[in-house]
Amino acid sequence: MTARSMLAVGCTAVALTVGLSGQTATVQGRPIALAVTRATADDMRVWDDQVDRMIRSRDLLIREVQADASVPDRQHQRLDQYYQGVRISGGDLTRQMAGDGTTSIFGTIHTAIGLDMTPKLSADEARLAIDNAAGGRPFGAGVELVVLPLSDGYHLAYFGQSVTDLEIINVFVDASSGLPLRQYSDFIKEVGAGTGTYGDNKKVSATAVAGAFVADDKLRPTEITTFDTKGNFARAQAIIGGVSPSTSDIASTTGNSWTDGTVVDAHVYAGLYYDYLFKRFGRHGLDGRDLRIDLLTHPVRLADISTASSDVLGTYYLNAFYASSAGPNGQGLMVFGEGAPKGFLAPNLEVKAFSAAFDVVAHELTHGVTANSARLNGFPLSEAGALNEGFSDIFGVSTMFFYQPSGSSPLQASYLLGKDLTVPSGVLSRSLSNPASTGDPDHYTRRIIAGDPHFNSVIMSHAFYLAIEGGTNRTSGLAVQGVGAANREQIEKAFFRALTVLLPSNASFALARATTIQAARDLYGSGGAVERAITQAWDAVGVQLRTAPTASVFPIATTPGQCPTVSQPSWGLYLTASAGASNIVVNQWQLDAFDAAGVRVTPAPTTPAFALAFSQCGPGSSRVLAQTDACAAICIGLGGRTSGSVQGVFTATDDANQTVTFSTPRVPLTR
Amino acid sequence: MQKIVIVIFVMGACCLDGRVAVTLDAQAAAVQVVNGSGTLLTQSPMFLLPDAQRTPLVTLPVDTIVRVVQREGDWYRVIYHDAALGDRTGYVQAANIRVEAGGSRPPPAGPSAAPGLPAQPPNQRRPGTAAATSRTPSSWTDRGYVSVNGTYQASSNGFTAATTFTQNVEAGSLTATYSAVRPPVLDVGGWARVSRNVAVGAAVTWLSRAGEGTLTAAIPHPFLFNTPRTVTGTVADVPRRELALHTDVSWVVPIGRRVQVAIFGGPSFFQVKQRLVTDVNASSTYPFDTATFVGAVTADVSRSQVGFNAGVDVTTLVSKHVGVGAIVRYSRASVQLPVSAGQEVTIHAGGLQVGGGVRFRF
Repeated sequence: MTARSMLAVGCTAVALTVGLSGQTATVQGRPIALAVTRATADDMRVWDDQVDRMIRSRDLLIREVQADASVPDRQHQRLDQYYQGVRISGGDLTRQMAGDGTTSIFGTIHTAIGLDMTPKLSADEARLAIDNAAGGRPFGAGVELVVLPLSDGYHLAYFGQSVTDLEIINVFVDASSGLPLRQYSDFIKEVGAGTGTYGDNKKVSATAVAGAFVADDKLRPTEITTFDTKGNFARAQAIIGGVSPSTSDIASTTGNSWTDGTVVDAHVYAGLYYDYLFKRFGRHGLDGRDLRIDLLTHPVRLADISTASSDVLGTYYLNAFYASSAGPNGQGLMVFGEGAPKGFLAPNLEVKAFSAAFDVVAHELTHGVTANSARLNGFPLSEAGALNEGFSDIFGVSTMFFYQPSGSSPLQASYLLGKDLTVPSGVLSRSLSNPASTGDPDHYTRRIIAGDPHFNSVIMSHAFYLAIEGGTNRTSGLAVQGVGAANREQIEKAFFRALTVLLPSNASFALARATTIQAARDLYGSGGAVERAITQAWDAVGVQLRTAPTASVFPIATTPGQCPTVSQPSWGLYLTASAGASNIVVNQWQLDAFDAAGVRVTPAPTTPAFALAFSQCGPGSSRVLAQTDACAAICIGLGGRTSGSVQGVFTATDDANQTVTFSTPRVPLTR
Repeated sequence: MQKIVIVIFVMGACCLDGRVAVTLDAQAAAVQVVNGSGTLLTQSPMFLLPDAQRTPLVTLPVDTIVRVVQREGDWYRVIYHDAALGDRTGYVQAANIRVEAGGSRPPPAGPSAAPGLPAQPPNQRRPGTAAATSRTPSSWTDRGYVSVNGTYQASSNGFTAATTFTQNVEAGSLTATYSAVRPPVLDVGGWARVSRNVAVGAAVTWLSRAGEGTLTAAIPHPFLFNTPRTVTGTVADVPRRELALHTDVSWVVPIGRRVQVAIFGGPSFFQVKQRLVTDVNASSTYPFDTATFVGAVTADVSRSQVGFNAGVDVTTLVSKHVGVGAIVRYSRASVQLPVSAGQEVTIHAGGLQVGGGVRFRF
């Protein structure tokens, strides 16, 4: 079924003809399409003789002669037509010859051209015009003077190729004016056969380029490109840092048969994640506007793992990450760690390349959604960082459930995020269904303030699980009536709505509760099963709306270099001021420092204005919205003392114009 | 057999005319009125009297048609129309004549009966159907006949062609169903007798129909396995043409004076030309979960195949040379048509065809 023409799937070498009548020299001629065979013997003789005459007069040049591999005693000629020594683009013939003479002639020849064959542009000028037309750089052989037949007649033109970051463009420009006459891409969209890390068959949306296929998906509304730096760490770092990759950086294969499981999984899963967003939520990609998706595989070599630094090991081997401002266009890049061979981390533990886990790919790409919607910050004390990770876990597993049957085997969906990362499975995982089984908190009271957001995130993702599947929270003992797996779409949509349109960047768990419940009401009505399930789930994990403002402080020891403007030794303080049920305007705040005996240190530390200091997880304003946080990072010294304590105190006005005072706990500072 | 027929005929006549018995008593042994026509089976001398020792009046060439007046022993009294001399009456030995036309009847009651006077020159008459029916019902004496029929395809010739193809690195399927239609069929044949009731001949049937087809295709998804997009559509013009040459042996049995039944059968040579759906055009947009039928790609393919045919032809004569008849012919051949590279579909050519037409006898 070679001629099958799925209109949206087939060849897309789109021809673009730029009509410039009156600005370029054209001559009307006559093309003649030939399809003569022995069945039309009279025509055959006439045209066979004509071809011979044109060969003798050098109007036709034999480009290629091939013996027939299938039929004995057959030979095939390819001939290009020339006019006054200049090739006519598209003027070519094939002639099949047997032992007893010519058997067929197919092609097009042009007559009555009558074109002035003197170009006004030099080859160098044409080269510049071609690159300007394509917006690219010179590519391939030099420019060629050709006769270009177009619908309005014949043009004397220059032909050349120009390459942009990701494609090769064929360009014809008028040989006199340099104006573009025609240009088209060499890319052709194809679907190739791929094999994933687990040996499963996948369909790879690729693009044909100059005889090879590159992992560049042009079938979807957004372009998804998978780069393969083949373990060249320097090159990977350069691309991550924003250096424009070249076509050779894109993962490729010669026969559109893809056997590198890391590349296959990354490319295919990213495409399917895009589809999940579209089909489930109607969203066009990470930013809702079909932001291109760039993926980078093989940033390091697996063989180099034993010599890798801890930073490289933790970032490029045992990790995957989405850097929203990295990549070719500074619009985001997802990088997949290379994993670890069996025996490196444990005798019987193998860590696959991080693209092997569909939910991990979806997790990282959800960071791209977050980065383009709620922009949940990662400030250490802010709960927004945990929410950021939690939403990624939620839509990571949800993507798997969208495509795969549930189960505990590889390539099956489960609530064990990252299950397929390792063999045996589930070693580097987070359990959304039973967080304690992976050492994660299942209740708000078990969170670690300023702890790892991945750790704290499970509080929300467990609530998500409970809202779907129902069950009893092991810590609170509260039961949840879930909507059921068949209705998981309802919970997914409520959480996605909260993430993408309701949550601000400095959100808290409490606000996540409020927005997901509101989203359920928006989508499915107040008091319905969805709202009930989500509300019960948040209750079960101990997340309630805050009623009054609160504040917290988390100190870390710092070096003089980190805090050069205060007395040494110094500490860094992560401060959070959180609004309760009411919006507040912070009128005044101060840090009270105490020595080891609990005597207030004088003079008191100087503090910048609230709006200036508390800009780390929000817009930087004295106004803190209800259920949100304002965060600051402050250096403090105790006048040379090596120990003491500190407390933040805030005075604010709420919506009722009442003055409220709240403070952080007094926390010790020690060296 | 001939004798028996005549006896039966005379007995029938007896019931119609009481005087015949007297005539029979006087002449039955020597003279029998025939009053028909005959064809010389061999070159034969014609004598003035039934006496081979006499000098022949003329020697008649083989196939000469004469009017047979009566039989006298081993002789027929015949009238031969001589182009130069006009009608000439004489005797030819009965063994040399095949009586082909006319009916026996009692001798004339009186001298005025003038038996044997022809209404027209007997040797200018073509072999007539009336003569055949005058003879034994099971004996067929024509040289042959030509039939022209218009028939109706009574059996279904619809078929379904299922093929597979590879798209998006996965197998898809295309199933096209070609509707059964009842096209008129032209059936023209010619027959020649080779022995008593046996004839050989050939008939050509021509069938042409402009059918339509429906198709269902399962087109693989570009991103997912086992998630085909199903499209359905119709194809308005998928004509089929069948040209068949039926070469038959026929057993021909006259029944009564005007009816003749032929039972035939033999090999058939079919040439079938069929327009087949070879591909489907469908449009699909992201996310490509559905596709819309745009059109079908078709190709005309033709193949030849040997099959068989058998049937019955019943003819009723409306004149000496012309009859009307009904024919039932069943023919069949299994023809494999290439529908795509390496894939063929088997269809059945022929079928049950019922119709009628005219017969021209000679």
